[in-house]
Amino acid sequence: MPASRHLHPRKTLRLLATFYGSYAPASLLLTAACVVLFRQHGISIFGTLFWLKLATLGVLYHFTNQRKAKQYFYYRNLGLSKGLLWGATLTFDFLLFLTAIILSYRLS
Amino acid sequence: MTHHLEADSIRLQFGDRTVLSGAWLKCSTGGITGLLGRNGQGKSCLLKIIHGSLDAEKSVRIDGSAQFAAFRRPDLLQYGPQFHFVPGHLSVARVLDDFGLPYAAFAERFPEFAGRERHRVRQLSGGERRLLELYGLVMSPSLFALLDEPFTHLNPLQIEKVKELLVERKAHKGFLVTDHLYRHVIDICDPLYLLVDGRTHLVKQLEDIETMGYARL
Repeated sequence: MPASRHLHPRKTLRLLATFYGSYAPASLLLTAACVVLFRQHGISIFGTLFWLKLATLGVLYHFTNQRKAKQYFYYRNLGLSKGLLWGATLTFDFLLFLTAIILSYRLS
Repeated sequence: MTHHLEADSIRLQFGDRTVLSGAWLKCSTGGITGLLGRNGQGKSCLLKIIHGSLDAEKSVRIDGSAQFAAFRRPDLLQYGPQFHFVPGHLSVARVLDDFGLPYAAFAERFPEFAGRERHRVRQLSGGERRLLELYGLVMSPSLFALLDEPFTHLNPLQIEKVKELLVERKAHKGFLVTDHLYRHVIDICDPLYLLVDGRTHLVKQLEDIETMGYARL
C-alpha cells in the first residue's frame, strides 16, 4: 500500500497539541500572569506585556529547541516539519494571549 | 514495481576536514542495503545528508526525481537516528497509532509488550524503546527507511527478531542500514557498502571488508 503524502488532519492536530504541551505550561502561566497584571494596571501596561510575552516565547523557543531537538525526528517521520510545529503552536499561543487580554479588557 | 533511491556526488567538509568526498550509494525496494565503516568515517552524516537534515553537496534521487529535502516527504523516506527520538511521555499505543499501526499486531510479534499499551515510552527499557521505534519505521508504508545503528540497545533475541522483521518487510520497502554490529548487517544486507576515507566502496566479496581494513572476519 503506498503511503499517503499527508497525515490525517486529526492526527496532525494531535501531534501539534503534543508538541505544544512541551512548552505550554510555562507559556500559559505567563499568559495568566499577564492577564492579572492587565486587570490591575489597565491598558497602560499593555505594551509592556505584549513585548514581555514575545520575549518569553523567544526564550521558550530557545530552551525547547535545546531540550527536545532529538524529538524533531519523530515529528518529521510523521510529516510535521520543525517550521510547522513552531509556526502553528506559537501562533496559537500568541492568539490565546491576545484573546485573554481582550476578554479581560471587555469584562473590566 | 521496484523503486530506487540513488545518492551520489556527496561531499561534506567540517572546516578543513573533508568527511565525505564523492560518496555514493544505491538502495532499492525489495532489498536491504548495508553501510559499514569505522567510527568517524561519516556513516551517520551520510544518512542525514540523504535524509536532508544535514546540509552538504549532494545529488539524491528517488525514482529519478531529485530530493533536496527528503525529510519533507515521509511517504518516501523515513529516518531512524541512533538515539531515542520518540517523546518519552507518549504511550506505546499512541506511538503506534501515530504511525498508523495496530497495537494488537505489535504485541503479537513482540509478546513482551502484551498488556502494556498504556505504558509510557519512558517506562520502557532501552531495548524495548528501540524496538518500538524500529517497528514504527519498518512497518509504516514509506518507500525507504534509513536506519542508523538499529541493533544498538537490543539484546541478541531482539536483534534476531528485528532482522526477521527487516527481511520480511523488504518486499515492500527499501532499507539502508548501518551498524557497528557488522556480522548482523552482513547477514541480512545485499548490497553492502564500505565507507573508507570519505568514499563508498561496493563490497563484491566479504574478503574486501578485511582487505580494506574494517574488520577481521
